[in-house]
Amino acid sequence: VCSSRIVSPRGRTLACVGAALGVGLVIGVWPPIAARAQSAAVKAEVEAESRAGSGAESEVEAAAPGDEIVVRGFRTGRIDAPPSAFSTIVSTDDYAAENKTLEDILAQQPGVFLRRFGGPGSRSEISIRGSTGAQVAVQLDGVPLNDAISGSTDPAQFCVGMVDSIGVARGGGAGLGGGNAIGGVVSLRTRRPGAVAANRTTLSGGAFGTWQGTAFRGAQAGPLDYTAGYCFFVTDGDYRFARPVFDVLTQTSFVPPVIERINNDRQRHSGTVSLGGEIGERGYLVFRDYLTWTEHGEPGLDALDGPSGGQNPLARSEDLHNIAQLEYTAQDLGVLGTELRASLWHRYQDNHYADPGIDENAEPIDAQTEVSTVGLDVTDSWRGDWLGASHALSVRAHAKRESLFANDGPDHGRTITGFGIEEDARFFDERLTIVPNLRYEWAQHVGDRWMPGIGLVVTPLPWLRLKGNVQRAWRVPSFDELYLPDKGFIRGNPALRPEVSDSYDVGLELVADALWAIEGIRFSGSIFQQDIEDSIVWIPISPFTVSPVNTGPARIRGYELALAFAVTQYLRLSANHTGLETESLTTGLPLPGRPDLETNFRIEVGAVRSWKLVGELQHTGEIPVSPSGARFLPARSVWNVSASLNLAAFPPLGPNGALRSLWLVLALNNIGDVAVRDLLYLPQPGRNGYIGVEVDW
Amino acid sequence: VTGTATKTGVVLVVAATLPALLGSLCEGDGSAQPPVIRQEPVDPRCAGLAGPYPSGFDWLPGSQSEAVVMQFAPAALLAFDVAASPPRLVSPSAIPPLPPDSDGDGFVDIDRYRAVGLCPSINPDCETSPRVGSLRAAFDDLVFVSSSGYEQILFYAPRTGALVPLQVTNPGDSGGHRAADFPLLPPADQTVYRTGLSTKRCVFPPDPVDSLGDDIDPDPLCDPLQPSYFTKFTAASAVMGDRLFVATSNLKSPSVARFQPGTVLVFDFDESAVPPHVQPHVAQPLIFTTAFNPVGLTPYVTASGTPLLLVTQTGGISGAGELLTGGAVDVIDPVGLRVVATIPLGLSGPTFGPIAIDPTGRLGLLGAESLRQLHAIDLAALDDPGLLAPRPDPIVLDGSTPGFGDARLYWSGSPLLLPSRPDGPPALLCKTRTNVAINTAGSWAFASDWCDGTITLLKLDLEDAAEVPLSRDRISVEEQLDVLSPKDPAIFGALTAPSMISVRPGRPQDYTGPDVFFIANEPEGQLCGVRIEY
Repeated sequence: VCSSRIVSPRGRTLACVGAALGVGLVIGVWPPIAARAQSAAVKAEVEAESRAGSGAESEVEAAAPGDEIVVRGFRTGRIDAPPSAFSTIVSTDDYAAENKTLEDILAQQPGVFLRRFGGPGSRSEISIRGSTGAQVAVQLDGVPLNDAISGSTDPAQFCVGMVDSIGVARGGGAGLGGGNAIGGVVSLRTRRPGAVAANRTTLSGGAFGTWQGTAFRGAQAGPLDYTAGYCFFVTDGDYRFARPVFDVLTQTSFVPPVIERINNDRQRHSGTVSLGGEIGERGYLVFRDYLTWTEHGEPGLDALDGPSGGQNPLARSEDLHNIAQLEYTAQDLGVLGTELRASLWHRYQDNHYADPGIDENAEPIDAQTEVSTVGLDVTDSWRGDWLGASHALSVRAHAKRESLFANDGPDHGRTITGFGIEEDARFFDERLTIVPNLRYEWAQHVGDRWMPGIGLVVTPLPWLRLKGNVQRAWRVPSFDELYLPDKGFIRGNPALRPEVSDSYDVGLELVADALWAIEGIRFSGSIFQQDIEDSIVWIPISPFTVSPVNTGPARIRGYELALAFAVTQYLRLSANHTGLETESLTTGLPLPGRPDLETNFRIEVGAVRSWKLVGELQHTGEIPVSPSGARFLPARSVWNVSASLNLAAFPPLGPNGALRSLWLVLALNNIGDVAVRDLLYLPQPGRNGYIGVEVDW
Repeated sequence: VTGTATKTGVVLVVAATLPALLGSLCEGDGSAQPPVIRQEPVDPRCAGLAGPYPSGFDWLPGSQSEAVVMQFAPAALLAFDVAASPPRLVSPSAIPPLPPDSDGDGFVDIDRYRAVGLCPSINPDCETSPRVGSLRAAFDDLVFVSSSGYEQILFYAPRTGALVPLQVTNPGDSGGHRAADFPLLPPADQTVYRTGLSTKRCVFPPDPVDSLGDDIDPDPLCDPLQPSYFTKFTAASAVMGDRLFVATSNLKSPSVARFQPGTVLVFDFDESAVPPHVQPHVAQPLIFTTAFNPVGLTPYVTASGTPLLLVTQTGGISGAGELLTGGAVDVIDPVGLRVVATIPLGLSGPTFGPIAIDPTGRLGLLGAESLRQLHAIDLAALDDPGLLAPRPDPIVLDGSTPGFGDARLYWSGSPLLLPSRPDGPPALLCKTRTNVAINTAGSWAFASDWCDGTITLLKLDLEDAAEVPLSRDRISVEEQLDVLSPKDPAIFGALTAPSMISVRPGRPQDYTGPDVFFIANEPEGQLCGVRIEY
């Protein structure tokens, strides 16, 4: 029933990305994949691929409209969001040859605001529909990534070259996403081996002494399949930036007005391996490991007078992060389920922060923190038809144990466990889908909570789908929020209550394969509301001490619009817009840190397989940067462009050569040289450019 | 083969350098559209400032409607006309920023700091820059602002917010003065124009013990052979006659609240020179305080006309507001340049800034750094000619010294407790800070409460106050006004945290508009005024 089906090397269906509405569209597909994988453009690609005659190595073997498209090579991923969720899945390959990072790609998705803390490679956090970074559940191959210490996740620690797809489920429909999924769920999926050995190498360099590269191979060896990858990122990070000017009653500013980001160099090395094989006829067992080591300066804030703006020239951090996972999946187990997934995983994080003190008034800091988390996650699903409807019943149970070891405070440990059940019932030839769910979670030392939700999908016409969701979610306070040792001026708060939210959204999706010369039209619109109780915020609780506290109730309302289409196979356009209105229900003040609007526009010109020119505009509205709601970072419009040429599409390298692609890339970001800040005291770079090469064979 | 290898090498070199070269060619700094931070008014009573916690607030002498406020970052001195409501700037022109060469010696501060070897040996490339602090409007056209990090007193023209140069001399070695003890002052016997007066000075304590009872080691930059340290955390300044006094807290270690003995630096100040001239007082350039952490200087003249300088000291206090050693008010003879008396206040943590003194000069009130209480001293105890008589140790004015009275009315052992706001945060969660001011008639005192956002009104009955000591009943709590929101997490974002309260000079009946002004510190700093009309 899927017009496009992503299959495994062994033929199992991994995901449907077709346009058979109400049936196989497990995920919403948004630009630019919509303009490529689901439209006439992809047909043109398929045709081009066929003409290329790459035979057994071709990525797409079948192409007739409506036929099953068997995709080989790197698999496209999926996310486990219910059909009622407003969600997006992006294949990172669709941003190939553009020198994009994972953060760049995430930042362009509807409903997502990526809060960056600095320049290339610097920490960032994901905000969905106005959430905090800690209110977004981030997973890598289903392993929860949210930091037990801070609660949030830094997507910059993952190389885009190792990630196959990014799924973003927004708001209430996040359903079984588990803890932290107040704003939504981001699911990263590592690259998978294909039936045909696939190799990829990338290398780019450019502004601020930044170099990055990837080497990856996925293949089969006898009954086993495997992947192995390595990526690196190094940067001097020494960009110059314009300092803020404060326009209050008059203008006050810093001198000099432009200074350099100091102590901002960074190096990161990551490696990934996986080894999998089928267990019997129905099972598949795989071991995956993702290791990242990062060493970098901690330049701190640009907040004070003086030639360095109060930045710290000496503080350094070293991080080691390993994610190991053993995953078993099986299908058609009879009474034991239609699909079973069991994942046993372990995360290890080690952070060493050292600051010798910048002057005689500052004292040395040498803090070592280790967090070890072990978890088990089991999901079983049963599918069948009864009572005139098709049903999919999923049951999930999970447990994890987090242990914190620090040299500047006592050790802590806690267990978080829970279970959930979700029914996906489809009536009237799937014109009506009802997705109720119920979750229970218990967190040691914190408490427990039942979290119900329900989603609804109505498909009155083949090209129109109406959706809505109501969902309750919570977030357990992080270790820092609870237990940060009392350092005089800052301390944790063991009395914190979990954040709890009720999310509501409703919207529609329109799909048209062709309308005159316009093809692959996808439109989506939704409105949403989140009511959050007990938001956790770090505030000065006395003249001396900053501590996290549960603040009063807050409400976030907004809307999302997204549109994508193609005009012939040479022009693809996509745009999305998110509007936000946030409010503390006690004070009526807006919540800080969220722009009131963000618009992304992207135009892609060229033959997808041989050359492309890409232009992108991101307009971000004013960002309130104070809890008073009275202080704003300015609105900004940032343009990026890139030009790419695939030499393998032309003689002498192609099209019949050994290379599948050899892209030369020229990318120029922030061409208007606009001062960009997502947080008041953390500057980002101005204009910057890169040259790179990407090779597939 | 050689040719091929050469070509390959060239290609590799070009390939390696091209990205870096092109990347560096296109690097921008964001200055095409710099970040202009917009800030809207939040309260009709208040004028907004950039950032929280402005560091200083004072009235311009001779004016009844002009106040100056020191904004912390970006550092800027702002002059307000408080006759308007909310207060408005005296000049709408952009305020000059603090330059990298803040003291005007021709060198960027940090370059100079490194050049004279002030960075610790383990970190020769250390960073420092001025962090502005207290403000004292010494004259109608000259304001002193303390700065720490790069320790100094900055000279500002109040109505333009610009730094102004004064004449600064570092005399040759003479008396108690060694020119080399001031590494950032001009060379010995040179007079130069400077916009800041360095207060970084080597100190050789006669009793080399810190606030935790540990011995003080020699600082090799001062003298490797005798216990010594550099002054730190320039906290307050005051002009009395032809002297400029500067208090330095000398906090050595914030994390463990270790203080070295507090000091008051003494400078000669010649206002009549053009521009005014300042130099270390050679005969007695330094006075040690009896308690730790001097944070306030208050010029005072007794009823019989004796000038005295009162030095507020918190005692040892931790970053969390925990009081570790006793606070006190020292009494310095500004002519004899020594501590003649001290008023111990116990574990009271008197608040930073000058003491509020009533117009008759009888009563002094002090707030508390981390307690919901006030302290009061009977200044009549200072009006004693015997106080200035030579003696080895200061007189302790707590009733224990024969022939001298007890200047303490309210202190840690018997504080003047302020009522807490019913809907305010619990004391366990929020240790408050109080500041206090007295009106020009001397009939009311106004105490701000950081946590509660209140101003407590205290009735002062000082008419015909002939009794010694002053009756404690002459001070009574009358009323409390909820001028700002309490520090309640549920109303996070509301205007809170008042401090630095002060009363507008003049009689309220002679003007309309607010008569009591204070700084609201969070979320952004504001200069606020309310009409209390008592």
